[in-house]
Amino acid sequence: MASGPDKALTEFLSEAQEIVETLGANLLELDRERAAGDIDPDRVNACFRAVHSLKGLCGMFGLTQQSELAHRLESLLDAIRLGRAEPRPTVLDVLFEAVELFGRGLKAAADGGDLDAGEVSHYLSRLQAATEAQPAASGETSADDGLGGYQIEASLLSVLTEYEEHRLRESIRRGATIFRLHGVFDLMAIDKGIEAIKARVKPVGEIITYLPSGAASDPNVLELDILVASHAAQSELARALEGIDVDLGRVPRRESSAPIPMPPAEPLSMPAAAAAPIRAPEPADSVADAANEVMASLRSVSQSVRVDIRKLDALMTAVGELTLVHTGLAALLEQLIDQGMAEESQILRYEVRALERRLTELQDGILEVRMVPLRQVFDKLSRVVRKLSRSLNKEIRLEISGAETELDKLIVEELSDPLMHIIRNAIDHGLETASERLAAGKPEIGTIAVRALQQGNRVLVSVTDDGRGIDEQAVARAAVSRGLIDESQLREMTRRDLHNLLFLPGMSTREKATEISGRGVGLDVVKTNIANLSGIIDVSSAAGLGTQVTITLPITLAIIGALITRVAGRTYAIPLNAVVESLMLEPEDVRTIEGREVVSLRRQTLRLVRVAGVFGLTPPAEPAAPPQVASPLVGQSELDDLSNDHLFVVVVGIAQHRVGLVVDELVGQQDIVIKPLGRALSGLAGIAGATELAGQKTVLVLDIPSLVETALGRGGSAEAA
Amino acid sequence: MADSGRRALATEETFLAAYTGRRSRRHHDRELLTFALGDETYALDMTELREISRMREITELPRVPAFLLGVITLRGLVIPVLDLRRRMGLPPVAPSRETRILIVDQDGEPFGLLVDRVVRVERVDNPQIESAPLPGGVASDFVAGVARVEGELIVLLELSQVVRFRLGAGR
Repeated sequence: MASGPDKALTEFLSEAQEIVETLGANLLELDRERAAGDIDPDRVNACFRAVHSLKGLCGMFGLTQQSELAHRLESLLDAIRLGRAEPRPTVLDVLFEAVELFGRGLKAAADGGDLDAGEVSHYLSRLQAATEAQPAASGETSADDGLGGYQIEASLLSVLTEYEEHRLRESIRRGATIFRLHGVFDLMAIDKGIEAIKARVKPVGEIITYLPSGAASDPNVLELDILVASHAAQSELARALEGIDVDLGRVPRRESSAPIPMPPAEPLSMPAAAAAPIRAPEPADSVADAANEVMASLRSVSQSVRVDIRKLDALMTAVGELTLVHTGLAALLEQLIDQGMAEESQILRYEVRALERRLTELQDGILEVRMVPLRQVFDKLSRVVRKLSRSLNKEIRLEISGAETELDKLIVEELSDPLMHIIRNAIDHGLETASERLAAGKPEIGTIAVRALQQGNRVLVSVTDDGRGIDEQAVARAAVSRGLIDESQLREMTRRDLHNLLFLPGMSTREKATEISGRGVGLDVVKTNIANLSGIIDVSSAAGLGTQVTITLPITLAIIGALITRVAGRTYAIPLNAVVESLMLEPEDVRTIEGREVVSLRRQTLRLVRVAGVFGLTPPAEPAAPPQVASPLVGQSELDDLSNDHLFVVVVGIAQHRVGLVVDELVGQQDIVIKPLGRALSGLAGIAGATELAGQKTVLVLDIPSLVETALGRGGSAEAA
Repeated sequence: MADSGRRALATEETFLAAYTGRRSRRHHDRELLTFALGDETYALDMTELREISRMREITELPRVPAFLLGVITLRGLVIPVLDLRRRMGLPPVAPSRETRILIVDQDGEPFGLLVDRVVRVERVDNPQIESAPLPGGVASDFVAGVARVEGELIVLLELSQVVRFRLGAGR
């Protein structure tokens, strides 16, 4: 399989091609809708997003010509979506031409080139001409405030983005009624709630904006006011929303208002001509043909396909079934040998081995296919930052690196929400206002850096801001006043412990919630989400300089690296994604505090947990031979040299907690497939599952979260460091 | 994967053919797998049996009752193994060449039962099975009934009770 820059380029071409195709398809729809006189604002948005993504992608791959091209198209489409420009046929012609241009550009990129600068500037001048030829769009109605007498509070108007305000005014101009939906959403399922409403509203109206309304007292819910513009009657809208728990009402209108604006000149019913699938003028036909031609040639450029993850899951299951067949064959082979047919079974033995190797290849191959770059999540973050930056009127510089780092698709998807939370926190709590920054001698524009980096079979994702940093005293006061910790615990805390208090449920330093963050939910949810992915989260901060949140994740959940250890003659596997480091200590390094064993590690206190003690293990009568594993950490000869007085400590971490597990021996590292223990053993504490090591030996996999929690006594405690 | 263990395997078929081949072909209500624990003969309904495994290395589990020997991995499934002797209140013995692990199915969950030796497949009719408790019997919760076949007493186990245990209590 391709790797390194080749793979990145292939991935880029595939993604860019897909975006260009999407853009082309949306432009066609847009043209049809324009002809029918009823343009779906989402259509323009889709075109805008496509061009925006292309701009970012091309910029990342140093395609300056195409990046510039996308940039100019983005400006044009932005103007269209804000109602400052009209998507007239001539403008659409030029837009279609861009699809063709990108097609050629991507083909050139496959060969390491870019578009010809002259060609692009020629195109841009035509783009300019087409845009300038039209008079400034009528924009907002000049009569009254353009709100058609709707009593919309100034405070509400002020938080609408320019686009949202445009859509509101445009809808009113077109005679739509403005409704207000009010609903209470469970924060954990808010995405689903909003998606459901979107799906129901879409056929009968348009959602203008979602605004948090501050009334909620429960930190686990969010109340939203949703403004909807619709030409339908209230009863129809109510019917569309049947079964969804929201209050529906009209936004009140002033009596004295100007008469309701008449529906615009465009008839709402489709003109007969629009019944044709594409009502394209003649030149557009040739453009479409040209675009098709480009697509046809592009197909030979990209060798990538996009696959539904469920298909990969099905493949993985099929490989699992094949493994069973292999096991059956191996058993048959054994029987033949038992029956004294050793010689005759030689060929079968060879074939069974070959099957085993191929099965391993197949399994590895499927796992690799599941890997996707983090770019898709990072793109989403860029959009969020852009949106927040606009709505908060706070300029933010977003630096992204390592977007090509790959993780299992499932992990990438689960990572999106936690990262979003962290970024919102950074913007809202971390970055100061421009004037504050200038006063502190910092650059006026705050920077948020999102970086990803692969380290062995782990991926580190960090979000760093250059804001004011965590106010440790405020955090401590808030934690005490909320009863999360008491004064005596506070006195024993290190700075890092203080930072990690932020991950406690119910923790917030803000007296007043803002719409972006600060409702006392967030970081504890982030912690839970990350722990569910077997990840570790850590926060560090320097007053006045900024905050860094680091998330360490396994590359895949299906097959994980494990540290094989021996305790009292038994073998246990510790998932490497929970392992911070391994240490060898002298017995005198261990101290006892309040009856618990600890060691000092880089001036921090580390709680020790003796696995033999937790499991009540006594050494077996005859020590079994250690299993064979690949790449031993400690060579056998070195092991022999070590006296038994040494302690081997595996430092493990879940979220921000650290504990040292004391084991007898570190055997080595190995990739393992964790299998669940099943329902009957679900109550077993300290064991996450089992795995088969070479030689068909079943080995238990330690459940690090449960061991850490047991060791620390309390679930959400932050005392380990 | 969940029901893959139910699939008829070559070994199981061979085993069954060997035992059933000798029996009469007349229709019977039930087929029982009989096995020995010490001098006593016990039985499970064949429909509860997935397969029979030779003794293999059992990985012990921490802090579990003594009758729960540990887990084995069979065809990709992690299966808890119970020492049926200890479960029935009999003294444990060292495994022999004849020791077998019966892989049984209870509500879709696999369990392994360690027995001294598999005897045969016995076909019986319902009237042959008495629900009367064993005279002076142990662990009567685990007994579904007693069958008398050619003068021999066979204890039919109540699998759902045998494999019913709770972990994590009193911790």
